[in-house]
Amino acid sequence: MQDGRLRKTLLLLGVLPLAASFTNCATVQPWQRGELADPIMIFNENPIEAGINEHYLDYREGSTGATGAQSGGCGCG
Amino acid sequence: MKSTLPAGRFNIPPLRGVRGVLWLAAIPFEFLVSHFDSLRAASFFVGNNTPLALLKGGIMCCLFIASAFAQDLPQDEVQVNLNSYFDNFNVQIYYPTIAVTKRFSDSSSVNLRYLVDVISAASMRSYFAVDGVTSATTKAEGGGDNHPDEVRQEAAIGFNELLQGGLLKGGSFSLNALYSREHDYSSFTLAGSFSYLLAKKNTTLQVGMVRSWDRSFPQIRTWTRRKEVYTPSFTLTQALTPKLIAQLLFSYNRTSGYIGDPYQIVQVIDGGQVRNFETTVPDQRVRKAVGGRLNYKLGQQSALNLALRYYWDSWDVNSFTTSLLWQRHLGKAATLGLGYRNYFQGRAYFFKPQYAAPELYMTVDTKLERGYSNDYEIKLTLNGGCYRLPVLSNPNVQLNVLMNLYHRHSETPDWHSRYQDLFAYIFSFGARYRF
Repeated sequence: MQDGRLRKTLLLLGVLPLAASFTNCATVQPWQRGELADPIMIFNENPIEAGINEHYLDYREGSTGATGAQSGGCGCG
Repeated sequence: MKSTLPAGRFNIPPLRGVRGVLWLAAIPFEFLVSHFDSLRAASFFVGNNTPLALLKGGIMCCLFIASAFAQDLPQDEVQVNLNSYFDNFNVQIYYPTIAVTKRFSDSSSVNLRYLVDVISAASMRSYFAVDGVTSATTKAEGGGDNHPDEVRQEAAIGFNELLQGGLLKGGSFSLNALYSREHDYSSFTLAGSFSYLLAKKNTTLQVGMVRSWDRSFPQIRTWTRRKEVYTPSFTLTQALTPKLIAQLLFSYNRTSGYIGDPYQIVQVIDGGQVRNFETTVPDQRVRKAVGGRLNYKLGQQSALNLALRYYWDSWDVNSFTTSLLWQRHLGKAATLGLGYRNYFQGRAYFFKPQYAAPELYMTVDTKLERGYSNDYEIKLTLNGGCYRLPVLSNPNVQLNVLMNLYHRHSETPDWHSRYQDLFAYIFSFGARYRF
């Protein structure tokens, strides 16, 4: 029961504000996107590097997913 | 072995055509419905059955289609990475990769990747002849002080396509196939994703599906067992301000078949008697994770990335992950990154530090034990064209150096090494050449 409450609380705190913010779309005009195009502003700019990180974490921890990176294919999990 | 899990919420239909796309689009809405239906404020999401969520997903998908814009293909490049892993459990892994991406038309590109895992571990030569950390086993031949104990090879091919006509014009999809083989395990994976830019390119919606077919044929057994994995996922990326971008991620993973580790040994200590058993775990595991990320530009040269993830599964493993990455341009010549990641997780319902009698499910896998981890990262990117050096004088070249220090603490000692604390060092050196 406590886990259920914790789950809902975390989702409320973390996800709902994000989801709500997504409804405020199209506030950034094309000529305002210079900063967003910077490589350091791109999530997982190097997918292979992200996969390398994901690879060793996946096989040493019990969780997976929702990181934007993909690894797998190994029988070591 | 029968699973004790209730029937899954998601009945996955064959993913064909528009119906498949709509089904994938419905997943996040179904998720939101199932978690927020008690919140009157979120009345938009009220309703708790899959057909309704499917309908909402379909409507939203159609709305998105109406305001779509074109996307770009990945750049042509060759990337080589030399990666290594060392830890205090005496595991050493070298895993070089090479990847090539090439456009072959204005709307299509192909990518190829090859990886080799070369593993050496003192534990592979132990009494059980297995490696309790990586679950790798000594090869039938080879091994020894100067030879690797395990070699895994992985090859992947991918295809990206921009859709330039039809109902889904402006979207892009990718399809990837991956095959991995080691002497006692093989895996074939198909992954597909579809993404769309919306709302004047301020929003990117991506739905994906990964499907794996694995075979396990351990050296110490005479059988071959199979495992299948479905992983639908959903990602929504939104530019919030000219300096702030956010991302919402959800993944659902259903693994069925043989999930256990055939090499790990459960010792049942009953009085003075010690008996060894195989690990036994349920034959199905449903894993869900939701995450959010924010990337904020600090001034002209720096950016701060914050990521949160909550994970829960049908084995009662819950976890929470927080990570922070700060990156800064050092002029045009280099970029420095400093990262920190914190993770803590709960224990699987059938995990016990010690078993006094044989049980239906028994495991000694530290990944299913309560614990936490910390990961410290430093990375440096050197941009070509800014140095008078043989390789770095070329503006198409980029060099990447990545170092991680990883510490994992588990509540009970690891079954094989008997350590509670794992310290690992990961080094990666990479070169990218864009042509």
